[in-house]
Parts: sequence; C-alpha cells; structure tokens
Amino acid sequence: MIAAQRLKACTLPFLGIAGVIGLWTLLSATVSPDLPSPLRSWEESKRYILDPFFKEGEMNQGIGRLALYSLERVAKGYLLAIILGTPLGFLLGLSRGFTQAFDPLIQILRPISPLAWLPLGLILFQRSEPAALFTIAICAMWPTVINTAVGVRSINQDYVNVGRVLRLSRWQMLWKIILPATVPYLFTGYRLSLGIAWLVIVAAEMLTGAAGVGGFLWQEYNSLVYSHIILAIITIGLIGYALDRLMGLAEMRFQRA
Amino acid sequence: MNAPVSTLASPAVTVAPPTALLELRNVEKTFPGRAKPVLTQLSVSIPEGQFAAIIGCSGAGKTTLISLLAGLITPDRGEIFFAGQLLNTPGPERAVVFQNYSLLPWLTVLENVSLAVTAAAPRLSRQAVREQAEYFIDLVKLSAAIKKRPRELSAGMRQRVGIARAFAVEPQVLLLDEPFSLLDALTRFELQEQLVHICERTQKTVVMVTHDVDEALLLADRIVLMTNGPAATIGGILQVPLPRPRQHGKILEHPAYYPARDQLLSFLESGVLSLDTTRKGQKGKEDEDAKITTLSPVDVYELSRWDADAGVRAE
Ligand SMILES: Nc1ncnc2c1ncn2[C@@H]1O[C@H](COP(=O)(O)OP(=O)(O)OP(=O)(O)O)[C@@H](O)[C@H]1O
Ligand SMILES: [Mg+2]
Repeated sequence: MIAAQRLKACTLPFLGIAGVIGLWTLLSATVSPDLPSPLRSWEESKRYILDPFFKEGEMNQGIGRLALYSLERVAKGYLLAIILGTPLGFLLGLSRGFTQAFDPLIQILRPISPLAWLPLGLILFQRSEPAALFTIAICAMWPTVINTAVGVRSINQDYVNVGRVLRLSRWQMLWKIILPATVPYLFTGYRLSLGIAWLVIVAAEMLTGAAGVGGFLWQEYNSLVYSHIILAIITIGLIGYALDRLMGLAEMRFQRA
Repeated sequence: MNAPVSTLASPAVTVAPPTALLELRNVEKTFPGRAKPVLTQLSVSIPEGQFAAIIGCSGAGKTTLISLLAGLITPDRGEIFFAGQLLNTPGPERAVVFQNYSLLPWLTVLENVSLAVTAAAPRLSRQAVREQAEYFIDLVKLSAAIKKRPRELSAGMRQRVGIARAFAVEPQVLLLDEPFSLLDALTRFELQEQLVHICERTQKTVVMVTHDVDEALLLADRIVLMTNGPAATIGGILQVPLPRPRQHGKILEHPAYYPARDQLLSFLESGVLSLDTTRKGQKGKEDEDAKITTLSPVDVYELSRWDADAGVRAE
C-alpha cells in the first residue's frame, strides 16, 4: 500500500513532464512552426549545458557562467532589499505613527512592476548596473517589510509581559524579546523576497542588456535562436526552484513548534 | 458643583495611607469590548510576609487579579498600592509565575532563567548569574534539562522553569498563578516544601492562585475566596487556623483541618461560604441564595470560630 503510493509519488511527476514535452512537440509540429521541437532544442543547446562555463564573448557563454552572473546580481540586489526592508518592517511594526505615515505609500509602491522602476533607476544612477540593483531591491523588499511588520505586531503578548515584569529597557526588549520572536516571520519574508528578486533579474537584464540568463534570453530572441530561449527559461525555473527550496530549509530551521 | 473642593479630593487616596504591602481598594476591571466587568468592588490587603492563596472557579478572574498585582494591566476603577505607592508598572520585585509558563521558546532553560537574573541584578558578573540560575534550576530538579529548549520539555517541566525563573530574581513579592497544577504528586510535594522553606527563611510575600484546597491550607496564612464571574469579587476570606511550621500529613491531624477544608469545598461548589458545615446537606437552595445577599464582601472567620467547629468534629 505504502510502497504503491511511493511509486506513484516518484513516477507521476515524470508523467507530468512527459505530458508537457508531448504537448510541446505537438505544438512545434502543428500551429507554431517557429517553436523548435524538444529534440532540436536539445541539439542546439547541449553545448551550453554540457560545457556550462565556456566563454566565447560577452553573450556567448555557457549557461552555468551566465547563471552565475545573474546570481551575483540577484545576491547584491537581494542583500540590499533585506538590509533596507528589515529595519523598515520593524519600524512599521513598532510604531503606529510610522505605520500611519508610510503604510499608504507602501501599498502604492508595492504593485509597481520592475519594468516601471528600471527606467527610473537609470535616470537616478546613470549606469545600468546600479539601476538593475535598485530595481531588484525595491521590488523584492516588500515581502520582507510586510512580513517583519506583521511578525512584530503579532508577537505573543506573553513574551512581552515577561520582558515587562523583568523591566527590560526598550533596547533589551527589542533585542531579547521582539527580534527573536519575529525571526520566523522574518525568514518567511526573506524567502518570498528572494523569489521576487529572481523574478526581477530577468526583466532587469533584458532591459539593461547585462550579461546573465535574462540578457542571454533577450539577445537570443533578437538573433532568432529560439531554442536558447527555452534553455534560458528552463534554467531560470530550475534555479528559482532551488533558491526557494534552500530558503525553505533555512525558514524551517527557524520555525518553532 | 456646590462643593468643588470636596469633589476634587479623591477620597480613596486621601482617607488613609495603605499599611499593607499590597493593597487593592474597590478595584474594577473590564476588558475592552465586554459589557460586564471581570472584577468589581474588589478590596483586599496583603501585609508584608503574608502568604495569601486565591481560590475561585475557572473564569472567576484570578489570573486577571494576578495581572493587576503584577502591574501588567491597570484597573479601570479603584487603586492598587504596593509598598505605599500607587502601583502602575510591572517590575522584578514582583515576580510572576504565569499560568501558561510564558517561557521564551528561543532560549534554553538556563538562558530563560539567566535572562531574569541579569535583568533583576544587572551588576552581577556572568559567573554569578550562571551560578544563581543553576541554583534555582537545581531547586526545581531540572539540572538535567538545563540546555533544552521549552518545546523539548513536558508541560510540568516548563512549569518548573517558570517557577525557577520567578524565584531566581529573588523578588519581594511572588505572584504565582497555579504554579504546581501540572506536577505529579511527589514533585508537587517537594516544591511545596521548598516554597514553604523559602518563604519562612526570606519572609516573602506571596499571592498564589490555586484550585487545590489542600495546597492552600498547607501553604497559606489566608485564603481569599473569589465569587463566580462575571463581575467577580471577594466572597470571603479565610484565616487558616493551622499553626506553623506545617508539614504534609501532619496538618491533616489538626482538628481544624477538615472543617476548614469542607468550608472551602462547599464554597467552590455553591459559591457561598457557609458558617456551619454540618447542616449544609439539609439546607434548601433558597437558603443558600439568601446567604449570598447577606454576605458582606469581606468576611473574616477567625481562629476562635474554627476551634469551636473543630471541637464538634473531634468528638
Ligand atoms: N485579555 C483579555 N481580554 C478579554 N477578556 C479576558 C482577557 N483575559 C481574561 N478575560 C476574561 O476574563 C474572565 C476571567 O479570566 P481569568 O483568566 O482571570 O480567569 P481565571 O480565574 O484565571 O480562570 P482559570 O482558573 O481558568 O485560570 C474570563 O471570562 C475571560 O474570558
Ligand atoms: Mg487563570
């Protein structure tokens, strides 16, 4: 019984993937002749996968090398996002006045697309790299801000009471009670922020033409090498999934019973 | 309007300065969004060095009373005095054992207790803090679990960490909210003895909520009985007629023990503190209801009355 379920759990995902590949083949053979078939995609992409770190020019590099560029960019932007977002979240959670002053603004800024921020970044910083980081940071920041604020606001009153009975100073209260009590929320925010940072990287690289998976994707579209678009899409998906799982592990580590 | 001066002067504050260490005067507390107050017209004073037990049904407002004494919540009416001053903030001189333990889940047992020690005595060296924390953890027999986090402990163990934490700050007043409710009989006996010992040695003032009538009789100088909520108040105060030092088993032999115990149990059952337990069985319902109305908020039954009762029983 259990063995059968295990078998199902192992085989069903492959069935799903096989189904999608079938559909893909069908589409490329019928309605979209421009779409390369799975086999052709593999033939044209395998060099990028099998030799992932070769470099033959700014945009002609193995997929591993391109992914590393993107990851580095995401890491910087993401770091900026949580360095700005965490204290902002604490301020929002702790101070009613601060919330009243900034909450409407945050609600308005939050849904703005990275495609809208990037030109502003270019105007602000003149160069494309800081503009990309700015865009990643400002888009990825919000889940951290909001989760931190929610975590601070929903802190168990019992913990605060312990601190009050011990007459902890405001500073001690923050460090010894509020911050540790908020850690699980903080990590949920960090995980969601990383997901968004990775979403934004593609848009930022496409618009700035920076070397990376997103830049590669856009360049190959312009040079009509469509199979490489698929390669880039699959790479982006796999890395995004891996990042989410990694952060999920970190989050679990801090989740309490 | 006719006599502005006299209306301005608040009579409760000016009438008499409090003499007891803890004193509540006509305290009323209503939680936001509730129509009826949880506690009302509640007056009681607890002199320094006294051990007061609070008994009342579930939901009567005992935890609310402890929170008021701790300064975690403020009364809507009336005043609470601590050491002659209006009490309005919490502080480590009034340590609390919370009913739900309220341990910090991200700290180990040692860290939970150490945090309290450091907060109460910031000048203490690291080494001294650790020693003091370890001493009190040992007192509650948790030395083996010193490195564990609360989620790895049983409920009774958590309760004991809460006790160690409160004792470790060496407070003037201990506010205990059902501190032994989850312990096995043996551990409870031991901790009760420790509590008796600590109280006798350091002359602590203790307010302890309990559902256990025998525990109240073993430990308390006075037992405060709370009426059922909502709008609970003090239904009576029982002066425990048993001599000290008291010992498990020994006090059961005292002639005043069982009459006192019966009184407490019948109060918990009916919400009425009856004067005569022997006739209680035959009393009609109307009789009991009448009792409630005639009972003054604070009735103190003195030792002499108990002696008389005890005499009847001893025959
Ligand atoms: N923070 C709160 N907000 C609203 N109502 C509350 C709050 N705390 C307690 N109450 C209400 O006040 C009443 C008394 O609660 P309290 O916890 O003081 O009872 P208790 O005597 O300690 O009961 P138990 O013996 O079960 O611990 C209850 O009806 C409860 O619902
Ligand atoms: Mg309670």
